[in-house]
Amino acid sequence: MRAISLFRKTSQQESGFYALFLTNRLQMLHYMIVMPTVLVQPYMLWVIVVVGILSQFCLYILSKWFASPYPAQGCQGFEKLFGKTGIKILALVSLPFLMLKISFISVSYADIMQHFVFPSMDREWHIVFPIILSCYLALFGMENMVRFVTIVIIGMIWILFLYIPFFLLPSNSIHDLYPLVPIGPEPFAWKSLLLVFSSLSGPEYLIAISYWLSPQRKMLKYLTIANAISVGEYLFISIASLLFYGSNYLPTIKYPSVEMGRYLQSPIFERVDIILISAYMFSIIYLLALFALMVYGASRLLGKAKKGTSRLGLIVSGCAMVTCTLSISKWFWEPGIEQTFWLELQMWAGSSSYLLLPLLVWFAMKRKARTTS
Amino acid sequence: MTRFLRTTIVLLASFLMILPCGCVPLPENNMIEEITPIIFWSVKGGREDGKITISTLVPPLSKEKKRVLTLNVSLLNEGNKGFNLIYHNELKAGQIRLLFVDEAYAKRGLTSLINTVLTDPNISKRLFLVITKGNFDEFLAKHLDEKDSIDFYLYRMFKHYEKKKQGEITVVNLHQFMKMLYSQVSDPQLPVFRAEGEQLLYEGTALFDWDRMVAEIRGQDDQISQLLYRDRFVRYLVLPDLSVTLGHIRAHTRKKLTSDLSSLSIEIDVKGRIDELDSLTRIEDNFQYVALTQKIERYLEENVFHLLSQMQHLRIDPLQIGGLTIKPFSRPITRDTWDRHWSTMKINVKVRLHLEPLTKVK
Repeated sequence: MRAISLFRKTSQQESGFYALFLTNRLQMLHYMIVMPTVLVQPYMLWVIVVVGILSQFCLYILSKWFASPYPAQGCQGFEKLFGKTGIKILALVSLPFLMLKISFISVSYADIMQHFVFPSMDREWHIVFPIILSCYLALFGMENMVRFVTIVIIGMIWILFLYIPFFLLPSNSIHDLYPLVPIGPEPFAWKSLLLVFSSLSGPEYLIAISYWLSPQRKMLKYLTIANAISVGEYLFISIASLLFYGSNYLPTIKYPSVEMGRYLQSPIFERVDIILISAYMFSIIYLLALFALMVYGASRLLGKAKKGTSRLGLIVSGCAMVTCTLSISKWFWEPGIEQTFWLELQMWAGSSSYLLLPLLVWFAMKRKARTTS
Repeated sequence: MTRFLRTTIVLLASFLMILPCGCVPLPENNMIEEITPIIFWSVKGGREDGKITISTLVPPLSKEKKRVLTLNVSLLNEGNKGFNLIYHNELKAGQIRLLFVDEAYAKRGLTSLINTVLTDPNISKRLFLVITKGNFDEFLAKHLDEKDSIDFYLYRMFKHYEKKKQGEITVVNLHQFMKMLYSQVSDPQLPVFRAEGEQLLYEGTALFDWDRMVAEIRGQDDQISQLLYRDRFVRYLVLPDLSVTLGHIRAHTRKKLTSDLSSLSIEIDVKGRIDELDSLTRIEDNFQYVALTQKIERYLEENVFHLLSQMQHLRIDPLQIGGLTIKPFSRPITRDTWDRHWSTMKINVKVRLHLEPLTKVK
């Protein structure tokens, strides 16, 4: 990859913390959308822990990639591993995954926005504006984007503290967290296992931006910390919502984590949930911007990548994102059957990419090592 | 030139993106001078045609002459819309804090009403639910004065008693009601007020069987049930039968179910002080003091027992005792099983009083 405006890299600094923050934000992207509606039974808390361990396995393989010499070489590293055609195939395959993730996130977020903040507004507005904003953010280039994650973390980490009062309510009782093992009449929902795993997915996209993360051998430490923090956050929010609602009432609530914000009262501002949703937008827009850059990068790889990057190209990618998302939102997002379909599609896509992509890179590295030696 | 071209392209692209979204982004007008954010709804049922009567007081909080708006409708939001047609301002439900439900309506079941309120994201889950007796509209009609903001004062009253769980009156909001309603084996409770002339008097606590009001407890029983349940603090516990008032009561209750659900033992540690004694009774030495304490203990035990057997008889569980049956490693029991066990359960009550006498005891 040539030193060009959008994908330029200027400094070689220690960046383990960027990887930590990025991993954490990528993993926490779904908490408001799907969590903890799926984790309505207390024993599901174990599912989070188990899936967290599974995700640690994926991150372990991912750290192998970071420890190898390839990421530091940028595009050439990938070329050495997969060959020129291999890269094109990878880019082609990754585009639908990216588009799906982008559309799913932005339509779901628009749904939340419409449900709580602007019920009378068209949903399409809530899709278009975040994407315009994220395109603006993406114009600053990949290096700045990677650094910006610190601001995103600062802008969002306080949300967790809002959930502390729910542990102190007098109506809570420890019995809301029972039974701890699945004994009920309903069968064990393996689907929710997959859903949690797909929620924890996302760090596989770090492979695409590993060039800017100045890879190093200690990466596993940072990835492990990030994973542990994410699992902790999911557990924290799930326990809070179980205590607040109880396991019978919780399944009837569509967005428990936002509704809980609605229940909070501050003497200055009554609708805490609106602030909560707006703060959540930090991570939505940031990650959309990251994905926009990835979409642009992937489409450049497909075409003639020799030309320098241009703003126009990025904006065209942004337009493609908007078109894709809007068409899904307008024609294929009926509540009920189609919405569940997208959730399931995203569930399968997220889980499979999280499991397979690190494995694929790992195998490629193994093969390369064998052929060179 | 190129910069100009680029800007044009960016602007054009943005417009193209905005175009499919329609042209009016925010069709709702929320200018405060033009809307009336009402504070409560009062719902009454029991008409022959099955309709409900919904009323509210407008305008809230302003120093103007008030009006009671009343409509007979079949749906709650039909009333909400109907109000707009008979009043010059648009009524908004976003600031609604209180929902008064008539006793007769509550006896037929609250689910449909609650679901309407629950699904509206504008309405806070902190909405206080209150059961009213008597003619609530008449009570409102006596508070139409310019200086009178009875709606706001009523809200402040509930807010005051909710804040620290003072245990003077039962305060239940929508979320708590729903949580109690949905809990596998327990039942909700709500406060009951009686409208009498221009007064609204607290009467006691309504006990529910699922979503239907089935009983009401008053006075002393109400205070005892508050001690047993969530509000572990009661300002005054007046026992007229013994000519004693206990003050600043803090209770710590331990409930224990046997594993076969055949008996329940309740141990209550009550700390407080004797605030008032009939002038004829005197505590002069330790004997008298112990005798009085024991007398009160026996009396409380009897009352708690009586209260619980009343609940057993009705097969309801407003004190959330059924919640104790949920164990970490066993299957939660069903409502029917619980009801069967609960109605025949043996109850042992033990009250331990730790009282401070008013004067020094020799």
